[in-house]
Amino acid sequence: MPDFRNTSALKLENIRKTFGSVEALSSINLEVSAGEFLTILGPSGSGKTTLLRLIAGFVTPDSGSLTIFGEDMTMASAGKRQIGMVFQNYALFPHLTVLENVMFPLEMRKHSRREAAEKAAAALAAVHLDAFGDRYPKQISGGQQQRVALARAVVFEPKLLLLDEPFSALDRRLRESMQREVRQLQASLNLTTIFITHDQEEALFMSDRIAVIDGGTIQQLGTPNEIYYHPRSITVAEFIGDSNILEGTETPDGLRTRSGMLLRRASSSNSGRVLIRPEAIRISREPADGVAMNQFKGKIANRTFVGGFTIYQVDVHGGDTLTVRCLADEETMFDTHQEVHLSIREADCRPVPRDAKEPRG
Amino acid sequence: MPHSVSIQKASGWLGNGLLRIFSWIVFLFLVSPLLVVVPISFSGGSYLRFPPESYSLRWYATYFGSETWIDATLLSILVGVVATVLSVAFGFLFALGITRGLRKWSGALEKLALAPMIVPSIVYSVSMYALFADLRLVGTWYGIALAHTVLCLPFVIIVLTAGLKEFDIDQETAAIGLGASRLVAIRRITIPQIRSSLFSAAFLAFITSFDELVVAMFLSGTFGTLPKKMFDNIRLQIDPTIAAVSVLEIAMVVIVMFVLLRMNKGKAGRLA
Repeated sequence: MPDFRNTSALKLENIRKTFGSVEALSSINLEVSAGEFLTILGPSGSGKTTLLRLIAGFVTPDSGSLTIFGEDMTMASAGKRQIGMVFQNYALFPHLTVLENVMFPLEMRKHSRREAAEKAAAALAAVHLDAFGDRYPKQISGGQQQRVALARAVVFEPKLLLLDEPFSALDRRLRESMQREVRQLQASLNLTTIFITHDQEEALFMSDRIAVIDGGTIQQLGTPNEIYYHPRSITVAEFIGDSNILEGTETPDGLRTRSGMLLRRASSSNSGRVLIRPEAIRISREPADGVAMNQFKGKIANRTFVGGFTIYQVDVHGGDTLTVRCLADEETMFDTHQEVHLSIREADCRPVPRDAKEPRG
Repeated sequence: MPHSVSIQKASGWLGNGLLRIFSWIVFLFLVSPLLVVVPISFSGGSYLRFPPESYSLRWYATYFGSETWIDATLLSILVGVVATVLSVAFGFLFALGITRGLRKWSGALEKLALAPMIVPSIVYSVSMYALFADLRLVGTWYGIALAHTVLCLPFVIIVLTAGLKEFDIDQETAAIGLGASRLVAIRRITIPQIRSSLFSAAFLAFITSFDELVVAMFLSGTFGTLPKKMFDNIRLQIDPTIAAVSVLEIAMVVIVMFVLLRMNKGKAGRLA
């Protein structure tokens, strides 16, 4: 199979879009490689829906250019772009059967009815719905409707697949199996996919790369690992995963927080801010040994049991309150008010650069 | 306390009873004209009298035997169909416009479109007469049809705008994204789903035109639509023919409504 990884499937350059006086998108630059699964992750109102509609061709930018496989599509109509899209509410046509729904894009492309029916049936088989072609959308479950929408979006071999929060209406169990299935289908078709979501777990789980968007600009673009462990701004750090963010002044030994804790770090920085993921903090009865460790004593302020793991709020003596997450273990669970030792590897105290707009504090 | 509970029960029972009685009174009030018109139409006598002294089908025979009555009916049907087609076509485009591109002004435009309902029909008729006299449209059936189209538009627009607002616009967007033109998307995706609104709109438009008197009096020349013929009939020679005509008209409306209801039911069952 040829390697499309180096081919640019979608390229956005200096895209800008305003609605009235509101700047929905400002200077978006983004390049997606062929076959890649890219997630646009952002809270509601971040501009991610505008960006998706702009890629789909339902919105035209005020300035900038949009290229799909080398072809300038900035002003092309939605139908010309050859993009398959799954809407948040699926937008299945209720007056057509499942098979007719999937045939629709083929008919619009002037395929003969027989050919369209054959291809549509094959697409339905790919999402395990071959037996449901004669049903109407209202007669099948939400998960099945989702698969129909997916089959309809890929049946005409589009250049791009756009997914607009397609899993938000499904319950957790179904959502997870659909996520896996979409990822498999995407990989087997080698289909360049752009996925919109506000759910960071979903983004981390599914994506090759994630573009975190907020305030109409891309805050950070990177692999799930990069985004999670090396957030480039406070916005990204707070949006992805749970985090302890400690501020203070830089000293030769490390960061001295306002409350007086000294955090030694593996690499020096002058950002005045440190990110510690809750699962990077070890909690124990006795002081832990090990080199390159920050050690603190504290008292459990609060305990939350969430099945697979336990979340503690720990008041560090003469310091801040830290959130700690450990794998749940009935034997060694700590009680509220219990004295504990915390240890954090120096490498896990990660500097967070200041946002460009943010004043230095 | 059991005492107050029983009082509550009694008053609830009384309230329900009163409501039921009241509903029946309103219902009787609404159907009472029918209760009078239907027997009179089968009258055997020569006068409008209730209750009729004898019964016969002679007034139905008079209606079907009279060329002027049949001509008036056919003219009304022609005018009604043309006014319906035109008003539904224009009204549908208008409703599409204010639920799509012109959404910002939809509130104002929708209210503006109701103007023909508010203008007194005499005022409207006189102005149409003045306008159509210049355009040489007075005394033509299509002149009446055009004037009726304007009168039908508010009903069509109210019904279709409501239908289109309920329609999930994402489906039209999806169809366009899947390669359809806007026109094809509207034809294949939107129209089938607002079919019941289109039927209701057409029905209301036809009834509005078919039953319209004032405009028809001003704009028809020597000939007349069915309402005008009925009016002339009352003025010149009161006989029970108009009762027979009324019953036929009512029967037609009931049948059309029944058919529409059945069609919508069949569709709703499949989509529910």
